[in-house]
Amino acid sequence: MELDEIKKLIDLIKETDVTELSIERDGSKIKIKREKYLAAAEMVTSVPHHAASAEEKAPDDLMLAKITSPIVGIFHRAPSPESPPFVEVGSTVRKGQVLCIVEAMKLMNEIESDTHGIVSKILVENGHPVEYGEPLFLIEPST
Amino acid sequence: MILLQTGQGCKLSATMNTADDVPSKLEVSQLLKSKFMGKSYVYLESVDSTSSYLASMDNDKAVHGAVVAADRQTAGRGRMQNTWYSPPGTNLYFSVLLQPEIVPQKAPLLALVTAAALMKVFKQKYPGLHPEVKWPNDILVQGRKLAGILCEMQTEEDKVSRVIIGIGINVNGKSESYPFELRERAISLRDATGATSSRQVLIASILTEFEKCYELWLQQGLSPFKKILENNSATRDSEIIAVMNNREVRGIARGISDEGYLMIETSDGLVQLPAGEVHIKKKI
Repeated sequence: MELDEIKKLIDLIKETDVTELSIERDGSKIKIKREKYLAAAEMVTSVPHHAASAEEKAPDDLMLAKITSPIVGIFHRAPSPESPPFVEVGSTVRKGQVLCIVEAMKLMNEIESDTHGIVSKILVENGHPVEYGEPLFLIEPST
Repeated sequence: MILLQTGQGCKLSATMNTADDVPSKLEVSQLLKSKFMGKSYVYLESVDSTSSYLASMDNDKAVHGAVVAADRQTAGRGRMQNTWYSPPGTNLYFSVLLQPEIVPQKAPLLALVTAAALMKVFKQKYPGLHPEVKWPNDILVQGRKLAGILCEMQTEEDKVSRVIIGIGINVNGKSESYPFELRERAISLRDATGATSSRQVLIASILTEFEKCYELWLQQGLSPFKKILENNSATRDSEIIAVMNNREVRGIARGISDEGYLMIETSDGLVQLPAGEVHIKKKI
């Protein structure tokens, strides 16, 4: 099997959930195995599934303002575990109002709304990890 | 207590208490050897929180490198609204405002750079202290907290508008005077060394060192600080439980990644932790 073919195979399985692939052809054998630690590392620092679903929403969502995370970290909906969340779905928010905190290495980043409007969707669960650029909220801007 | 005999036989007495070392503007500015850090300096006898005060200061005073220090805080803050015990006359409570021209993703590393700066000052001034860094940025001595750091960032679009770094250091307090629940968990420089320290000298040294570290970090990133953070780590090669809200990661803490994440070896492989509270179970 040519090196190019092997490279193509590796690229192909990278895009899938396949962790192991064996091919036997013309007397030669190849086995490609992805390391488990990658999956474990991704568990904490990669884009969770709900991020993708935000991208696939119906066209109505295109009218909504998307608030994204500027850093990799943990999403906190409230200033402390005992406090009520900053906002709920349906909350009216003004530009500059704090919507959540994303925490990384004890740096607390208060994420503010960049528009006046109503919180339409909260896309991440409290305490979950978020990626850089991951959508956190959809806000229906008020006109 | 010092008694001074005057020529007329009149006795003057002065109590040498630790409050004589309040980190007031005049004294600290004379000791500072920094270029910009602490040049704008506000000292308050009492404030709710030095970070909150700095956050609400007018833009003309809240400049890059501005510092607010207080003798006591009535609502000193830790992570997620935990309180930071801040009695008067003994400890250091101060906050530094920075406006780095960096992308927000890099800003969390400032927490580690601050910890590295504190470690450098402690190790240089107190050779027998053996401080350790508990990732990301607590400083421990004998497994008890000597100093804590809390960073807060405001961003605008994809820019950092400002980072406020709050620092609390237990300097001259005595553990027997702490609230009961803190006695086993907190330690002061005085508890550890048996001697009192001047808060004026300490804060000036820290601001001077922090400025150097900050500028080095802007030029070279985290790599110049990895050695001091990893070689003096309270968690390295220890069995730990990391808690991120309701989720737990159990494993052996290893080094720090280039992004500053704590690397944990778990039964499922290597996990990189960007945030959370770390509890040390035991050293291996």
